[in-house]
Amino acid sequence: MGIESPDVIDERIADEYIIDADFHLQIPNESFFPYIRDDAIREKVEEFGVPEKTYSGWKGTYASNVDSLGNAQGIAMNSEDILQVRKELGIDVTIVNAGLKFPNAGRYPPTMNELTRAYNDYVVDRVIDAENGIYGTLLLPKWDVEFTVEELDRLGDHDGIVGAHQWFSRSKPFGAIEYDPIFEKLIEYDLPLTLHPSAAYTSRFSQIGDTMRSYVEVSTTGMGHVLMANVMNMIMTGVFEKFPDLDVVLEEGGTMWIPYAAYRGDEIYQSYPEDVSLTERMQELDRKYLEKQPSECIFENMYVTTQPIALPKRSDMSEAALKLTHAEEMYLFSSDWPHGTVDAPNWLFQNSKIDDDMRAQIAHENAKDVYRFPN
Amino acid sequence: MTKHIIGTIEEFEEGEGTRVEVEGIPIAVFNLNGEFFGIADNCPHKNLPLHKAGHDRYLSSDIDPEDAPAGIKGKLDGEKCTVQCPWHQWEWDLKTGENLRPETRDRVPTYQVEVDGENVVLEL
Repeated sequence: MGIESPDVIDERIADEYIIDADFHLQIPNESFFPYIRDDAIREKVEEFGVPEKTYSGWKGTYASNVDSLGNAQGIAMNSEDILQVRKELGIDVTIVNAGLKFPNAGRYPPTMNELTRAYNDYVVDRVIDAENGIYGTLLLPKWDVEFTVEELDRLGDHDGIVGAHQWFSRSKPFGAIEYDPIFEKLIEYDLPLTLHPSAAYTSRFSQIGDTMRSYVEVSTTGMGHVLMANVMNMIMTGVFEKFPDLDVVLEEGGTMWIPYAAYRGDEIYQSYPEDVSLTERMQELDRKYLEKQPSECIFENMYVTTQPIALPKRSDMSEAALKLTHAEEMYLFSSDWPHGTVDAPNWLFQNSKIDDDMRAQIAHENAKDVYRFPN
Repeated sequence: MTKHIIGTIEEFEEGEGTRVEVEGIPIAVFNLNGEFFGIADNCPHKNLPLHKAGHDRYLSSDIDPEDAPAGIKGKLDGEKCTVQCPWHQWEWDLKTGENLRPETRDRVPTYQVEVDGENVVLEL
C-alpha cells in the first residue's frame, strides 16, 4: 500500500522492445525559421509568419471541449525532450514525423521549399539522436518534384533518416506519374514513403465535404476515403509494377480499410481491368494488365501504423480483424504523441488474441523490415 | 469496509491526481480544494491511468513558459466533482463513477476518501 508513481503506464511494456512509428514534432513554425537560408524569405516569415494555407482542416476541439488537441500531451522540440516524454509509454525507438501545423499548403512554392528544407535541417540538427534511438523521416516537398529529389540527394543517406514523409490529403494522389523521380530516389536510398493524413483530409469544395457537420463524420470517413483513394490510385496506375520494391507506410488511417480495398479491389479488377492499360505509367511500361493483384500490392508493399487502432471488443471478432488486416505482417505500432488521439502500447498486452510472436512483429519486427535503420 | 491510511494531506497536490495502491488495487486520488476523491486508476476506454489528470502537459525546455500554451492534461472540476481522462478526454463523475455522457454505459469504481487529522484515509 502506498503512493507510487510508476515510470511506465503498464510494467509489461517496459519488457518489450517498442518502436514508435508516428511521433509528431508538433512545434511552433518559428523554431526552424533560423534554418531558412534565403534571407528575404526568412525576414518575411519572421515578420509576418508563414503564408496562410489555401484551405484548412477541421477543429476537433469543437467536438471534444478541449483547448488543444494538437498538443494535448505537450510539446517536445528536441531529442532530450523526446527521451523524457517517451518513458511513460515504454518506447525504445522513436520515428519523428512533422507536426500537422507544418505549412505544407501555403501559397508560395519557393517559400514552402525553404521552410521544408529548414524543417529537415532542424530535425537533423536538433532531433535525430541515433545512439538513443531517435530517428526522423525526411519531409518531402512533393509540390516541387525537382526540389524533392534534391532534398533526397541532400539528406536521403543520412544515418538518422529512416523514411520519407508526406501527407495524403485532397491534393493530387501519389499515383500521378510526375512523382516517379521521387519513387526512384526512395528506392535508391532504400527509404519507405510514409503518408500521413493532413489536417485538410476531408473532401472540401464538394457537396459532401462542405455538408459534413460533425467531427465524427469527417474523422471516420475523411481519413479512410482519402487514404484508400491514394492506395488504389497508386496500384491501378502501375506504381508497384514499375517500382516493385517501393514500400509505403500508411499512417493514422486505421486498419479496417485493408480487407475492403484488397478484396473488393481484386474482385472489381477481375471484372473491369481494361482501362488500366490506358494510364500513363502502364502505357510507358507497355503493359496491358497488372502483374500483381491489388491485394498483393497492399499485402506486400504496404504497412500501416496502428494508431488509431479500433479492434472489436469481442475476442473472436478481434481475432478475425487481426487476421483480415494482416496485423502480423503489416502493423507498425505508433503513438501519435502528442495529439489528443495518442495511443499507448498497452493494448498489445491486453488483447488475448495477440500472442508473443504477433506482439513482437507489431512492436518492432515489421518496423525493422520497412524503415532503413542503420546496421 | 476497511479504512486505510494512504498518506498525509501534503502528499496529495491540490488540483492534480496521485496514484496509490491499496490491497493491490491502483487508485487515483484527487485533492480538489481540500476535498478528496478516489477512483479506480483506469479509464476503461483504453485502460489508461486517470491519475495523471491535472498534471501539466510536457513543455520543452526550448520554450519560454510565458510563450507556452498553458495547460494541463485532463481537467478536474471541483464543483461538478469530475475528472477528464488525461489521454482521450472521457469525463467521469468522481462520486458515482458514471461517464458524463449518458450513452456511455461504462462505469469506474469510486472510493470514499476522507481526511483524519493530517492523514488521508481511503475506505475499501
